[in-house]
Amino acid sequence: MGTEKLLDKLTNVLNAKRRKQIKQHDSLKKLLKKLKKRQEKHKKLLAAKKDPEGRKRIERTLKVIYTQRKKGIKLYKDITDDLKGKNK
Amino acid sequence: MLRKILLPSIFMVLAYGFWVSPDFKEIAAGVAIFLFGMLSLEEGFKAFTGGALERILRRTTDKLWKSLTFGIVSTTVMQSSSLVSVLTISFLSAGLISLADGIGIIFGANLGTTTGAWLVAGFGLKVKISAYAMPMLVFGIILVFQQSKNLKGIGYVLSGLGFLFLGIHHMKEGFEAFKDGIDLVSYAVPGMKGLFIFSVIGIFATVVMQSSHATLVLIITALAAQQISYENALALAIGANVGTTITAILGAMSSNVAGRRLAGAHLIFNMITGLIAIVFMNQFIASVNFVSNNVGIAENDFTLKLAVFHTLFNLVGVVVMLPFVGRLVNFLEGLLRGKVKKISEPYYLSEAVLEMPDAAIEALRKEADHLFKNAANIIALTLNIKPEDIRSDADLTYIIDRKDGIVATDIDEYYDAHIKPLYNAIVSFVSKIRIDDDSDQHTRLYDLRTACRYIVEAVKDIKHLQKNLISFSTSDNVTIQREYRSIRFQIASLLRTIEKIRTDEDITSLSLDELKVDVEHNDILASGALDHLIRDNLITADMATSLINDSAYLRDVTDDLTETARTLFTPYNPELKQIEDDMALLKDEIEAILEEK
Repeated sequence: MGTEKLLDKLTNVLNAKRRKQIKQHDSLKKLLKKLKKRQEKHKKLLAAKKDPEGRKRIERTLKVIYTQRKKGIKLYKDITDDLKGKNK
Repeated sequence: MLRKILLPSIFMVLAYGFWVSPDFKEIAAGVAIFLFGMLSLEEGFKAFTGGALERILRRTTDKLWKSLTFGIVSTTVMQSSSLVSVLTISFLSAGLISLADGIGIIFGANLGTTTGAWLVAGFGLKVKISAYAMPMLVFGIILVFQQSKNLKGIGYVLSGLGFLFLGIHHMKEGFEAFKDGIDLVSYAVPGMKGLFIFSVIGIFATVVMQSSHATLVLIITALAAQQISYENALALAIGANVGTTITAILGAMSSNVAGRRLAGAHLIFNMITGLIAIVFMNQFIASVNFVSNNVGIAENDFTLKLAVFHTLFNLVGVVVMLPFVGRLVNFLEGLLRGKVKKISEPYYLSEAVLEMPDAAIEALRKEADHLFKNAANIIALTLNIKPEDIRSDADLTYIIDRKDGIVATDIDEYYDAHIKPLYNAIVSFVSKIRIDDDSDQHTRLYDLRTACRYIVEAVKDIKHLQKNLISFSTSDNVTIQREYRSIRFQIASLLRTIEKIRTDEDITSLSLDELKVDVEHNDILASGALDHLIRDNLITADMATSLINDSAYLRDVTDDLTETARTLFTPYNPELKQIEDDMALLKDEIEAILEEK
């Protein structure tokens, strides 16, 4: 392991804020995956649904997931940039 | 009666001993300092671990060998089988681990605790440990007064170790001086008779001190000063092993039946292990000699041989008992049957779980779930729906339409019988939990208490809805009848969705935004549907005001139940909480979704 990588790992251990950000980064990644999976599931449900009221309900759900994912992806990018030191 | 005279009797015996012999005073003071050190050490580990120990316990007890390893490692590190026993009873009482897992931990703790004898015999008696005690105490006490929880924890651990060392030093000095006056070894009893007598003395000493560790140190120091014979020391060690179960038994007294079963398992294991050691004493002594010779322990180093014996007979006990864990569980479950609890009684709250914050929080979550189930049943009955229909997959429209009118449910009676006593118990329990204000655990505790308040408020709001639900369900006006039917459908549908949330692995707290959008979509006030009904004279003004009020109650019920589901049924992740709050939909985003065609 290079010195830079080692120092990076040491910083992660010593810096509580950075440690928290790393945990948030990992948890958010998992959350976004879950939302994506849920979105796919509802897209399939929509394709199979015939009655208009049921379709409208699934469409609303898809819009909710889409909005949440959009906000989540922006947050994920911000945290990633923070961790890489791009956000000063 | 016995309890009343026991303490004064002990005081009198001790006072007489102090008067007669200053050396006895030093030994007793050594034991007292040692026990104080144990308390300090336990306090330190409780504060220092900050839930880490509990998290490890939750993750590492799904298999028997893992439970056993956890018991060995945690007891070796903390040098306190009592703390591990109490921790295990708390977790078992809260339903976090099974009885078989708990038994595995207790078996492991019995092995782990034998390392104490090794440390004292191998290190404590050969090095002048009082020299280490003083700086440890000074540094430890300075740290105890620090604000930081971790530093405080380290302080307790350091001062605990300091007191342990100081206690051992005083016991050693006391026995050394004692030797010059009285030769206790002349009271040694040989043979089987001695074995039984000294085993009973070991049990008694451990019950009084509530620490087998303290008894063992006392035995080792006395043995080192040649104040007891080697054979009698072995018998005392067996007695200490049996006597140590008193801590688990006392801990289980305030626990539920699960905790009592574990204490029973602890007692059975230690009794059987003790009996095996007594019956096969000669074979054990031969084995100890064999092991000692092979690992380089001197022929006359009886203190280390005692440590070998202590480990060996506990190891044999574990090997003998391990294949029978399943049978032991069945036996204890048959012997100690829990009384069938009423629906209004708390199932999970007990004094024993209060010992460990994580266990207390989990017990509270389960009890809040119990409160939710009771509330959901009352709400379903108020809607004239059987609770089991909510949990089924049957068509809700059919369920609601199959009966004309609504049978009145006495909500007050249900509330007094099924909600209030449980809520009272929860509020009282929460007030007893001791958690640092700035911790994640405190936030979780606050959220759970708030969720319980929402449940109670939802029941109260449904009561306000009930009168009009009944009267308008048989109204001649078809429009108002349809609107109230819609209210019933929305609440029933929400209850069913929440039931599904419990078992769906893909659910996150964000999924509840979908419910919020549905509620907003169905809001008769916000959508302007109510104005349309009044304008077209489809309902009277009187009906309209009722509908306005009841729509507000419906909104309150759905908000309360949604927030409850968020706290109780979605995975809790402190790192993610802030992010989920940031990702949750705002009011204008919900409106934008509803406006989109």
